[in-house]
Amino acid sequence: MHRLSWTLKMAFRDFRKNIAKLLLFISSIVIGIAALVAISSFGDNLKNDIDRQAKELLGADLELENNKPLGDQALDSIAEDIASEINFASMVSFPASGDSRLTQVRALEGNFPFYGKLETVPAEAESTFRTSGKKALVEKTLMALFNAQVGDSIKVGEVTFVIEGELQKVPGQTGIAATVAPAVYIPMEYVEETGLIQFGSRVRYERYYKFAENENIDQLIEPFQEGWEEEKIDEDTVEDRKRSTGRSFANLSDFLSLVAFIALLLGCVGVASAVNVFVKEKLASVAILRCLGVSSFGALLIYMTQIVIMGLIGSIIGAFFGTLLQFALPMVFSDFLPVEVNVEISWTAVTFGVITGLFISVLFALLPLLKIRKVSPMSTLRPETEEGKISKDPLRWVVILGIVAFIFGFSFYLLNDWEEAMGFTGFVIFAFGVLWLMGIGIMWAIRRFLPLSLNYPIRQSLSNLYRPNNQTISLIATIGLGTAMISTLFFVQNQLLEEAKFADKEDQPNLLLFDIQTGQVGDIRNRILNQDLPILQQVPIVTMGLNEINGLTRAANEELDEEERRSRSLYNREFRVTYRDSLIDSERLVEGKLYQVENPGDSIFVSFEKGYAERTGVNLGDEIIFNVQGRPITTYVGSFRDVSFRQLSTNFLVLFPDNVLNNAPQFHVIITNTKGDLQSANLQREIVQEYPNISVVNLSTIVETLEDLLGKISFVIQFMAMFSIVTGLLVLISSLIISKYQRLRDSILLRTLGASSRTVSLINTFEYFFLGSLASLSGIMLSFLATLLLNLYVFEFPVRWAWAEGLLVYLVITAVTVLLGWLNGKNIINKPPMDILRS
Amino acid sequence: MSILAVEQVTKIYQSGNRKLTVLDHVNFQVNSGESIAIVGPSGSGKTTLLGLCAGLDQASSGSVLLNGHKMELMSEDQRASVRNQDVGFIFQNFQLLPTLTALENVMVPLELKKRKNAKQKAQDLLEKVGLGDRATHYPSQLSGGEQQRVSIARAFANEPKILFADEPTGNLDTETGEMIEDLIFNMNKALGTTLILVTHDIGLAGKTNRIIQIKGGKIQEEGNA
Repeated sequence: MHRLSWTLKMAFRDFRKNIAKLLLFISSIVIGIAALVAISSFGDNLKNDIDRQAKELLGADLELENNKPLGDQALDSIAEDIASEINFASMVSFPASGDSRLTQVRALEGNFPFYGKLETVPAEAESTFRTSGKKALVEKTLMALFNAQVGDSIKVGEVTFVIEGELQKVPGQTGIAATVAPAVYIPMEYVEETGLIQFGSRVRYERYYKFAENENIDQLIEPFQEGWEEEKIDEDTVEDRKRSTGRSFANLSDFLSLVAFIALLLGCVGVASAVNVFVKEKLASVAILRCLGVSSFGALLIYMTQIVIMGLIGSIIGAFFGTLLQFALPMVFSDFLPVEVNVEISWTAVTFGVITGLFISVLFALLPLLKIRKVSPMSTLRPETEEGKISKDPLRWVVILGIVAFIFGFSFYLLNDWEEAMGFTGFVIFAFGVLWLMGIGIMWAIRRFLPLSLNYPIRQSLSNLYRPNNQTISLIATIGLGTAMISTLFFVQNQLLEEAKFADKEDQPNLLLFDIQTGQVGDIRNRILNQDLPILQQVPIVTMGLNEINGLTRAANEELDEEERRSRSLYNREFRVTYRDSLIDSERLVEGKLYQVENPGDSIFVSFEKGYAERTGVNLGDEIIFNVQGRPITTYVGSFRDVSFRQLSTNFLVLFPDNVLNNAPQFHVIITNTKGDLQSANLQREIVQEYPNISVVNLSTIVETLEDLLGKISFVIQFMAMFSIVTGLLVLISSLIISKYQRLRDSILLRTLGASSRTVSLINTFEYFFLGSLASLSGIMLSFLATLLLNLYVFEFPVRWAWAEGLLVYLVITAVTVLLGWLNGKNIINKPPMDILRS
Repeated sequence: MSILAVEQVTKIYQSGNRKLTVLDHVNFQVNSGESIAIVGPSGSGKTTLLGLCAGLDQASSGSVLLNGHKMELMSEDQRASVRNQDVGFIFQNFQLLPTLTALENVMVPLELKKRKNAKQKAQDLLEKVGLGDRATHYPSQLSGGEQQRVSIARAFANEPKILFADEPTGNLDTETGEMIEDLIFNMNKALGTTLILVTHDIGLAGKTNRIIQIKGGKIQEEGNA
């Protein structure tokens, strides 16, 4: 007990003189903790708000959905209120300008939403558009895109509606959803009149129910569920919606917490590096204490206590900033949020952040602190006495294992999947390892190959990188990893956009027309050919369901154990297939062969997309009975195809041979290539005016949507990456201040030897230039590697190196490093040499 | 009665593949209350010998018996405890803890020994070395001579049975050095402590009871001062 109180007393005595320095060390973790607490708090608040506003997510107590009219349901008479909706994708046009765009048309009947409301401008439009008259509500993004005003007209199919209001927000819908598929609400009574519901249209029929307040919905719907399953009717209750929304946002919050955790890890590397310098400065004091009779553990405890106190202070400061920061998060994530988030202090998140920060900063600081145990008291007499070999210290390996275990444990806690947690831990170790090795390699190369003939300021600045107590390697690791994160983001974003734009080449398809009825094909073809445009693809599409696979019906499959059961999606899916005897550019045969049907009675062999077949457990030779508009067709799996979904093209999971489906009810897709946006817009206008049921997608709209979408996603990721960058900068600032005394001595010595202020300044500037360059280039190289791996294994794009973006990242990071170094060195240069000699 | 017995002590340092014998079968004894000086040229092994005698390091072979404790049989932490109980140190470069005031530096051995009134005793010792009014100063605020006086106060604080001094005046000017010498010998005499000092300074060595001359790791000569 006495020893402990004495240790604390000694820790406090030492702490008094080191407080500024220790605060500086610990500042590196503040940002990471702040990010972690902000994200966790925000996640907690979001979860609470999803719970509180659960009914508004769905807008009703129950939703039923099918791809055919729902008919009378037993629940209709039990419900307090019912509303119906028919929704489908269709072109809408603005008669004033003639512009048109693919949108999600939602034809509404009844008082949906029962909970929450459609937010509109003007506010009363939410109810007035439902009353008699052809009135529509139009999503604000669409209004802005076509510069439309309330009171203008909008044409949906054959019917022209007056825009009654601008739709601001739909309960449960995120801003992202509005970007991808902007909605137009119309009253249900005009849906038939639009003429848009034709064969092949992807129509969803929805019915919303409101029940008495105390009704137990799960019990209420249980007797009907089997019947709905039979009819492929999907049901969605408030609890279902709450669970799925909560799960996806918990996933998002966990992912963002991992990004914040990376910033914290970077900060901890900064702490370890700074504590390393601190410990080196303290070795003499430790030797004295050992001489005076303090045990090795006692000495360790004195310094560890200080780190614990500072870790605690740093974590509390971080948690405080994190709690403040979360007030800004609803703005950052506004496009992703389905509910309004009320910001409150989450004490769980604060406690979690403080404990995490304290634990991990002590764990990282222990690595250098363990050296204290190996200090020989003999070094009071001989300062050059060798310390015990730290790398052989088994405790050091225990600490390293502890760090790895903590990273794994933390990621497992967030991801709840040991494989993903292993992946994340592996990624962190790999990234740090690569940067660490790069740092060591660079230092070795400089020492080994630095030529004496090199210009003196450059040579001196390069050798400064390995001066005693340097933090070059840890700076390369921390700034490098921050750079790698942000540049990988830039590269991937750029790659996706370039890939989309690349598709817009002369001979590539850039205009796609779909939902063409068989009777319309001839005229559409003529209109395209009359404008001197090619018909690149004309594809018939037949819709069908799957009845049996290897004799296993949907009902029999349901009775199997979960391990034996086939994927339900096989039976639930509406397959859209085409038929031909050859492959197109975007397809490649990988297994089996394409069989033709030449005579009636020949076996029918179909081709599956390989990835889909693997996911659903379909094998070559499997017997599959499809249901084509009520008629069963027995087929066999004859081949697998690799399909590239990169091009604007029609790609199919299942391909039939010719001569099987030719007489089945079908609709068509035509793909062409227009020259320029004007021609594309003209053709689109002409076709939509004449055939409102036909939908048109042009590549530039896809690119615009993609740009918009990536812009929103990348804003969030950049916001998170900013934590790592700022942490990297804090580590840099901390290391500059720590090495200030060493720099001061070097600079005074140089000036005593006759170096001019300009030379000293030049040496400093070069040093920071090299440091910034090495760190950012290491990070950029790592991000090139990450981009390459993502291209090869995720996107399957050809690699397109982003040299310009890489150069930009390099210049910015290096310039910031030089600027900070220059600010730090300004005072050093101005100090008279006598000052240091006197001190 | 012997307080320190050094028997056949050898110290070998390994430098790569090379072995460097710094002390070679050294033998001597020191009686309680005696003062001895270890002298010799640079690199002769005198500081190494002092470190082994004080339990700061371990011999490659041979035995060091300090106040009845066989040093070679003890762990580093056990030796640390012996140092705290029985040993005082004075160093050439003072070795004060820079983050502690003069008073706190003197208090450390007393606190480690769980002595009551540590603060008062430390203050008394500072008065004795003439620094009563500098108690709250940090080492960086003291001159070299003052720092060494704090170091002497600290060395005597735990009332050691044996005091080791490594070139105690080596970093001081002649006048200050003489004052420090007087202080060491006077306090040593007053408290009856055994004194072992390492020095180049023949004048200082002459003030002890006995001189051990060491050269090339071996004792060349041993005799009265």
